[in-house]
Amino acid sequence: MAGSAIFGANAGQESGHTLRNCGLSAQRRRQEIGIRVFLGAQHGDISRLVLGSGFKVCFVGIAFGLLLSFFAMRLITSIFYGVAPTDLWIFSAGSLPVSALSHLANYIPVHCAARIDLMIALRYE
Amino acid sequence: MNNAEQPLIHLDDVTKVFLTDEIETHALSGITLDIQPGEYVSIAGPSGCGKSTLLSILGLLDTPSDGAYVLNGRLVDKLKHSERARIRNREIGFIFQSFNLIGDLTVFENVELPLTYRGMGTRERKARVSEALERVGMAHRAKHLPSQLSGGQQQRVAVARALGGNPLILLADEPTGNLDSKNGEAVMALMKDLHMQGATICMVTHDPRYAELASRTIHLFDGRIVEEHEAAAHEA
Repeated sequence: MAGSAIFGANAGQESGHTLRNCGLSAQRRRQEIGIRVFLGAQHGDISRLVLGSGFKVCFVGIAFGLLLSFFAMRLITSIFYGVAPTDLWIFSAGSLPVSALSHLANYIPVHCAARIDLMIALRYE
Repeated sequence: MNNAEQPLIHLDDVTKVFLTDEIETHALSGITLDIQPGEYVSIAGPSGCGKSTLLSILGLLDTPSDGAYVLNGRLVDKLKHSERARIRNREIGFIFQSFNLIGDLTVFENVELPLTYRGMGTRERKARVSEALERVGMAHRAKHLPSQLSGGQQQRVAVARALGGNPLILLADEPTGNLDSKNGEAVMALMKDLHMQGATICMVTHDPRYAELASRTIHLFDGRIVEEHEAAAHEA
């Protein structure tokens, strides 16, 4: 139980970091998105750009996290009753919400980017 | 297709009003203006007279509150966002005061970017980018990032990006505003060369020295055209 709580807290914390970092990344790129839209990018082009880069970050993070989890689970395997150290459900339960939150964190700024005010974005210093 | 008598750009009684907290600001009032193909026009005036607002409307960044804007024989003042983006990509080259290059992309990639959104093939894209960089004298810096260039060089890259798609018109918003006098003069010399090669240019500037380099100067004051004159000794 203690292990599940620790695991859950960690997953929640990482989700929060992911949300914050993905959102900040898109905000920092507001001027870049404005330039691209001005030069002719359509909504689909911007979506692919922001979601693509966000997915790469998420994928690397999840892959790294899963690798660490594999070794961590072996160390704390005695805490989990009836669960194998490499139980697929345990691994999925952590990474799937993080992945979903990451995509949500990217989608919201993309949705906002489609309504970006070019006059403001292109004069950003 | 544009014939000799039809202006490339025609503004008919264009007005722009900004509404902020119930306060109306009349940025432009009754602007009627024609720009012919091959002309080099400068728009001059004091700060706040509406120069950049006018250029934003010409560049389809903004829409007029009233009046008509005809670009290459087509009414464009009430188009959808996506259609304006398409026309900006294909028919207008824009040069900003602050360059507006993308820092993570190389010089080559910055110039290539608008051609990518046009769906142009790779080979043709690369040929056009190389040609544009040659025209502005920046081919030797194609693999550099904007942060590795001086202000004047960044503006040359911005000019190449504007030229790459062979636009109908180049719009320049204070292209020398962020440059020292030496680099400013170099950019203005480049603009003059481009005009001599047949480019249609409309440039906003607050510097009367640069305004007089154009073949025709339009003076704005409080959102209205107050004076228009041909250059005294425009070189053919």
